[in-house]
Amino acid sequence: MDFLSGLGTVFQLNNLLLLVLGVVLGIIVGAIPGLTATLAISLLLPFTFSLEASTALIMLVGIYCGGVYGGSITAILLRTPGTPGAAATALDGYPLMKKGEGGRALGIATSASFTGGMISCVFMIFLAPVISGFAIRFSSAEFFALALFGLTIIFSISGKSLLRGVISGLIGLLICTVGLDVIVSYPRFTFGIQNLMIGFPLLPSIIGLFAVSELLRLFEEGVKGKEEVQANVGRVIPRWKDLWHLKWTMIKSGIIGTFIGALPGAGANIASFVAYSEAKRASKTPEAFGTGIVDGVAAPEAANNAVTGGALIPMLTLGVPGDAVTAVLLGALTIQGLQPGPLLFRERPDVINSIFASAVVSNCVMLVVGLLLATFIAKIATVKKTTLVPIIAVFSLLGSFAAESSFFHMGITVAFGIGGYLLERNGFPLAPIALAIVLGNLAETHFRAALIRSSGNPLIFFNSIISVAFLLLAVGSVIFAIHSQRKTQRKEARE
Amino acid sequence: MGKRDMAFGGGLFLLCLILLYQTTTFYNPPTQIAGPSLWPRILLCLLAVFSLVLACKGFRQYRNWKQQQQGDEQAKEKEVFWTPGTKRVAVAIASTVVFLIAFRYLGYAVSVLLYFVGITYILEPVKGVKPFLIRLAQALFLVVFIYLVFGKALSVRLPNGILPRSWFV
Repeated sequence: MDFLSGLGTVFQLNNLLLLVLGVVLGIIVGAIPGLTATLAISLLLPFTFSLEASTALIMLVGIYCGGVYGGSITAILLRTPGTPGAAATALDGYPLMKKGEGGRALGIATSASFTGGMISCVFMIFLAPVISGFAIRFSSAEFFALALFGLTIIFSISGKSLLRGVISGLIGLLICTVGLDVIVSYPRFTFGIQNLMIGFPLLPSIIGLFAVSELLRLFEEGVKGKEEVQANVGRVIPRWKDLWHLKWTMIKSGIIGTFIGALPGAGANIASFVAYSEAKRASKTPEAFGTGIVDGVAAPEAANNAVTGGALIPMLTLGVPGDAVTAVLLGALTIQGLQPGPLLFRERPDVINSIFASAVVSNCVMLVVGLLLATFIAKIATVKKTTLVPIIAVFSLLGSFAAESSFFHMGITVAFGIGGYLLERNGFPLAPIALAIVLGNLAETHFRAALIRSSGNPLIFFNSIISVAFLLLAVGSVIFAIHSQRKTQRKEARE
Repeated sequence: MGKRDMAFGGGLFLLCLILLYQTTTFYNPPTQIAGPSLWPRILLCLLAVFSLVLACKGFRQYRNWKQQQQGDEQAKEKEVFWTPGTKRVAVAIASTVVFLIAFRYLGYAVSVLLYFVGITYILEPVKGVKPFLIRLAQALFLVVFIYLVFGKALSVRLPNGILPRSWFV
């Protein structure tokens, strides 16, 4: 019944129009190589400001689902994955295109993305309320342990260097300490600047980190020639025979994607390669993978879109984002005055139901838009950077200005953009900074509240089984990340 | 070759020390168990340690690289910082800063127009009147589009600057 009320909200005309707009914009931005779903959401966040919370989130979920799918279009047509999660799709998608079956590959990719997305929605709708019901009993110590576990995700999204990832994360946490202290309202690190009393505002910081730094990277790359998209790719609507042949591959990959998405730090790129490897392992003709077969398109596409629903589970139930996109989405909830986590299920069930319903409807819209407009979208996606970059730059800066008509916010966006670009250029990943900015206040508030409650006794963090379990998970995730990085380094050294 | 890590790690370590000193000035009532300085101090101590580790790793890399260079005179190569790409980035940053100032004083319409034309020129310099006019037309279209999206749809009060307010109502 609750889900039906969510559907009712989504099907209100203005919400539905915004959802369709979100999906289309997400697909376009996702299809543009170098621009990710994170950038799409950061860039479009200011437009959701004036909207009601449910409406804003309906649109953002649409952008998220569309953005993840969009990457596959240019991966198939141009062998240039729009997003990192679509890299595995190019392995068989582009050879299919070369064989003159680009339309068939696009149709399979769209159907697989839809199937994967829907599977993850089912898991999200049934699992999320159960997890939040359990998490509602958490005390400060348990919340701190949970936030700490969330922060250890930094280790798994650190890219090549753990050390740099940890430094990025600590910089993000320190950024959170600027402004009035959360418990006694004492100004910290404001250096007499009145505008810093409320700390670094989330929206300009995120736009700066993800949009402006990305633009500076595009400036460094410069303009290369425009890529041409073949106009006639053949029939895009998939044949029933193909879908029937791929049913188990899509279902299995959808389940793989959902569970990998729910794991902190493991995103669409990991899920798509795991699903691709599994499809290859289970195939009767594994040697055909990479030469252009539909199984090699269906598996990664079902998995990377299934990540969307999977990643929303820990974000909504525990307030812990699994990757950069969900960190930005979490920020969007905070901007709307909502505190993600178990309490949200009790206080704002309308918002939760709208999110569930919008995820389902977004996948349906994505299916229709993808099947009808994929080649047209690919043409838009290949627009020259000379036109695209200045437009994004102006929208980023005006977006940060729009929220409070503040010139100071524009300055923050530029400062974060320059800082983010310099950090990334020197090998420091930006996702841990975003994650730390989002989780920083939660961690500090509960850490200090727990210590105050226990009169300063740190053993309070070991008093409950849940808290100990999260702390052990945090330690486990650090050990696992260190171990897998060493393994990769050894493998690289051997090669 | 490790030089950047040394510089970054060292710089960050120094910054941590300065901020740690700053935390000693924070208000800390005697009865307060977990005061405002506790959390930043923990973070700064951790960051200082990791910055030192980064600087040391950078130093080790730099030393190894130097030794290799001495062994192989021919392999001597200088790290080039000012590539055409980095020059473009520097000019883009400078233009963006100028845009921020112009946005406030000249207004959104004039600043967006100038910024768009300037940025497109940095990305791809063109000669001749026709390509310039095409870009100017694109910029004008963007100014109108921004007015419709931000000014009308989102009701943002965009600064009119040197242009009369009545043009934007």
